[in-house]
Amino acid sequence: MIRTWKIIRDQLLLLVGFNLTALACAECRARVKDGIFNHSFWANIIVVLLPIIAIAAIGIGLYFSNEIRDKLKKGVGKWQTNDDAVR
Amino acid sequence: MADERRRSPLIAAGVLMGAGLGGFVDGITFHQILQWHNMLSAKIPPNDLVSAKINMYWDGLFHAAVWMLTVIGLFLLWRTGQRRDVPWSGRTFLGALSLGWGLFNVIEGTLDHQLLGIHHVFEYTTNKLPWDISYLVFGVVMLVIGSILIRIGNGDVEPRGKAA
Repeated sequence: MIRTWKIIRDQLLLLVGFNLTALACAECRARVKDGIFNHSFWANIIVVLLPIIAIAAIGIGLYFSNEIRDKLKKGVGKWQTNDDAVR
Repeated sequence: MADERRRSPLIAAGVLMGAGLGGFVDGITFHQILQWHNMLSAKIPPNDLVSAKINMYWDGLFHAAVWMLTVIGLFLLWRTGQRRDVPWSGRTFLGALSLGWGLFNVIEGTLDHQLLGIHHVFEYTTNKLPWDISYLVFGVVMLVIGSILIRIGNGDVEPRGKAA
């Protein structure tokens, strides 16, 4: 079980690039890694992915917009019915 | 029945796929073939092999992200094709693709070029603004074309399977 988790962890790290990526030529590998995995790594990740995350949010939001609208309408309807009952 | 028809799932799938493919056009054309800029080229100018390889890493991450966007769009398109309440319109989908590409240019251009300044469309010139503005204008043109096509596609009402 622990081994499985380690494999999953390594694959996630591979995706982000800590261990097995940026294996540049032996001459410059250390400098390339230092240039990527430094104090600004997470800031750079956010900056690079920000437009994509924004577009994904718009697209997925649009896909479910009808369901969201229906739920909101039902919610408002329920609330109004309860309000009428109180009156 | 008519008011139960929903267009937004097909538009959403097209927007995501269009944005993903637009991202590939940007990455392949500007980053790799023309080499006008890289993802962090204003921050880390690719003047030597090490800085070029650092930029290559961030370009790769960007390509992976737009690939994910395209795959999500494809998945949503597949799901949309199975729904009977969504009209299956080529014009709507083409419009959504155009809308997605325009959206990519406008959002990426505004955030990365104007606000964050991590790169510009043509990095190796003294006056970068005209190139950045042209990129945004192209995005707006694609948004307009996409909106017009989606409007024209409102005439298509048959779900998938009945359209042909």
